[in-house]
Amino acid sequence: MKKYCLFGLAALAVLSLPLVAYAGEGDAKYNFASVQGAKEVKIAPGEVTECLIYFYNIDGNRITHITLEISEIPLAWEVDIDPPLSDTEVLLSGMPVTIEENLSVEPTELMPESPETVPEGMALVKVPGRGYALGRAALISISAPESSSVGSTQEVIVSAEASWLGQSGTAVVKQARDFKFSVTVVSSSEYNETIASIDITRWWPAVLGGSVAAVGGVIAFHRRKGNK
Amino acid sequence: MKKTVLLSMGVVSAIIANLTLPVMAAEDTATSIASVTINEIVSVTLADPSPDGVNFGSVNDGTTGNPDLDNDSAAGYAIQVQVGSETNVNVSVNIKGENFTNGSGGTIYISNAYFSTFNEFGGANTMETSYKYVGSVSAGGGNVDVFHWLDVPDGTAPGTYQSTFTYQATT
Repeated sequence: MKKYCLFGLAALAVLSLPLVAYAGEGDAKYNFASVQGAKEVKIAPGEVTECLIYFYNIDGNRITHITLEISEIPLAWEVDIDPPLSDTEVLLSGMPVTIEENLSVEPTELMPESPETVPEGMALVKVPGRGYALGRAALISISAPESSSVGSTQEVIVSAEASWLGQSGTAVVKQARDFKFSVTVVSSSEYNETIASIDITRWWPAVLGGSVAAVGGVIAFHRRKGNK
Repeated sequence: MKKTVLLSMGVVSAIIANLTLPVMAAEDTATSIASVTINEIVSVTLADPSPDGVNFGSVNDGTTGNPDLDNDSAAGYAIQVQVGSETNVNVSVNIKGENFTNGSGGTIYISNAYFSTFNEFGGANTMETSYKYVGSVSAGGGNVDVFHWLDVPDGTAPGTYQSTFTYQATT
């Protein structure tokens, strides 16, 4: 009898293994993680400045598909996003599906140390307090027109939307995030400084006048004191 | 009188000294500008107990407060917004939705959908096509549990309706 019980327990243990694996697959985690470097950038009229946004996916278990669009841009300015929006064909449970995206980020393992090499097309992201992750980068190129006024500050906003395939419910969940860049127009990218000198000779009459008044005041004060 | 002249010279000297003082101060100190850019890191994960997004299952028209099938799951939420520990800014979570459509002209307006951070339909907020505030997480990470419900108006045509719920993280 004992033998049968042990056999039954062993069989149950073996049968429960796939169930554990299935439960792990069932819990979907849609991760959208980003690193934005400089939010405040400088640009000279007629020139281009480049900003990077990194995306990684270490807490998710689904591929994150990202679209990027320019939602705010000053008049006559230009913003380019690389990689551009394009059609990508993916196999979803064996079925080919075409989606429009700028880039996608597959779930990756967190690495305790920086790897020696980074695969082509990937970017290494340092995740503070956790380690390193392989991700992807989007290059945002901002061009200011020649007519842009030096000293002014403009805002550029890139809106990102992250989506995940394979959701069969009533409402598909997505994520959205804005990346704001505050762009200040400077005169030139090269160092250039001019001292606007003060003509001291303009102030001599005031200095002399003040001194004479002070001396006069002191003399008057002493004379009045002497008279008393 | 001699004393007065000496005093006057002193006053004039003091004026001249005051005028030259800023120049001397500028010569005595030197400053250099040091700058560093700290990256803004935001990591948000939507944890879904079943891999189907938000799912209200099969329901009848003329019913109210139909819960997402995950509302009462063992996980204890329909969607959990998990902000990663590496996030170095405060994050506000907002939500918006699109009208539910069935592909053959049928519509359930998004105002029939609700969300709450508690599993109580009574105090739930109506969803809209523009963002509404859900909750906040401080820098360093944390979670916000979200629950969903749907009213199906009387006379809604049968069929499978679909929508999109967008969770937005603002910093």
